[in-house]
Amino acid sequence: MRQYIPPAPPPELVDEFVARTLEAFEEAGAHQPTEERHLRIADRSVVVRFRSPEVADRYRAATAHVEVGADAPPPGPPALTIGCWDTATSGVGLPPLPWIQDNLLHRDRVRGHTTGDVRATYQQSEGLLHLYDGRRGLGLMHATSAAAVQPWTDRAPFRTFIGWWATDCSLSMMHSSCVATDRGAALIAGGSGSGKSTTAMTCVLAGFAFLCDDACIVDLDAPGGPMVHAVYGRSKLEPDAAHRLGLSPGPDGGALITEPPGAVAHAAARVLLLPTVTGRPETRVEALPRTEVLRTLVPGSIREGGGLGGRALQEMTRVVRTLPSYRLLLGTDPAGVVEAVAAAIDGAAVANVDPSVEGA
Amino acid sequence: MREAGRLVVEPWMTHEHLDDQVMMINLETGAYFALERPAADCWTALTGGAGFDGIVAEVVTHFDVPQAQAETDVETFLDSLVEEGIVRWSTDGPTDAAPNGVVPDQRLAYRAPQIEKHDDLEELLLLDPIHDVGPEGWPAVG
Repeated sequence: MRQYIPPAPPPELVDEFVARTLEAFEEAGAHQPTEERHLRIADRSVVVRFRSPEVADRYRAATAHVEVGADAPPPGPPALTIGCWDTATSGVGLPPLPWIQDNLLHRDRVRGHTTGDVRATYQQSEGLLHLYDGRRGLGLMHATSAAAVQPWTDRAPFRTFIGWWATDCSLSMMHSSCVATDRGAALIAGGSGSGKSTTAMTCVLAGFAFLCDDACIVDLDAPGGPMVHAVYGRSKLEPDAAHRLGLSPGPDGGALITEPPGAVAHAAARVLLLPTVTGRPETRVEALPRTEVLRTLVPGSIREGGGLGGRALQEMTRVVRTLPSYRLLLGTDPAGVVEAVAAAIDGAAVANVDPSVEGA
Repeated sequence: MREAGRLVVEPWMTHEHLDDQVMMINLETGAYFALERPAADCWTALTGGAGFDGIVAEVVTHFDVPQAQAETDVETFLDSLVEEGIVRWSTDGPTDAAPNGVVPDQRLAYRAPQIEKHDDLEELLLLDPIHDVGPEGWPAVG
């Protein structure tokens, strides 16, 4: 028996809520100074206005490498404007929500707002709202206090907005690590614990350029061919992985959060690798059906941020159709990992591929 | 249930065809679904506007299956799509022909069309392969 699905609010009510939320953000500016940051993401201008000083401080490091100096903001209107405030410091709360309780779904999703012009996530317990209006290129984030903003977002600020916006720009936000040689970049994608961060850091320590640890944007339509763009500049390594790579763990023996050396803003996208730990000494690549690649990418992308809103699945499928993809069977010898990733970027991985496999 | 109209995809669903597979995501629940042939063929026919008879015709044309069995299996498949909140019946009339009317030289081996469903909570139950790889960890210290 099919479950009853209550209706989402009508569009005019939602539009009014967007307008009133924007008014609330502007009102917060009367009580709290604004810190404005200009970012350059995927060759587009993004402006972030903070009216929450603590969140502004926490979010600074993750986007420092794509920040454009305030004295030289890019010309023209921004492609995306993000406003962020909290009630505790500004005294300004949210307007009444247009949603009934049954519209608030698992993982902060909001019924009727996972796709379309206005997208939203709402975490009830913390009053944490992400409200995005694709028509205006506008994202508004509100929390009851800075403490309500989850610490893990410090590594990937506004990921939900940037993912939705990227999709609207026919870009694909990929849940992947990315490293590059002077020949181009390898995207290293997979679920939590698949080895992508450790693989990326292994390559960075061997001299590869670092683009991202967890999320990057792929532009398949860039004039010179597919490009991958960095979004966030921080990397996270679990303590045991840090130890095995000869690095010290983070404070109190926890995860190591760091800004890896050799960061670059973009590189030509050459290959998509899906790592799997094998426990064998040698590292190899093997062909994968494209359908299996997509099946691997989808769950991670659903889980991250607000999920796959808008045309994200279509954009991700375009990436899978365009870039050669291989399973990276990770061996225990770091030198072998580095060699295999470099060969994959060079296209030499094809030599190891069974051409009869679909998608090779 | 066999209805006279056609099925329409719910607005919270996003779907994409890649090679012989269809991937679908319910953006509101986070559940995702994979369809392989012949379910993917049924989906192509369905989204092309075919009604029940057109979808069955698509299956019978391309797969080695008797008409009666195809009808039963397609009915079960479409019921499961409706139950999962992926599609709903509309009173709009179906298109006249199945979208892919090319008759193959040889019909393919058949298995009943079905939905492969995954939930985004599944990952929470999975073990972490890096940390469970063994006492030597990964990668090994040189």
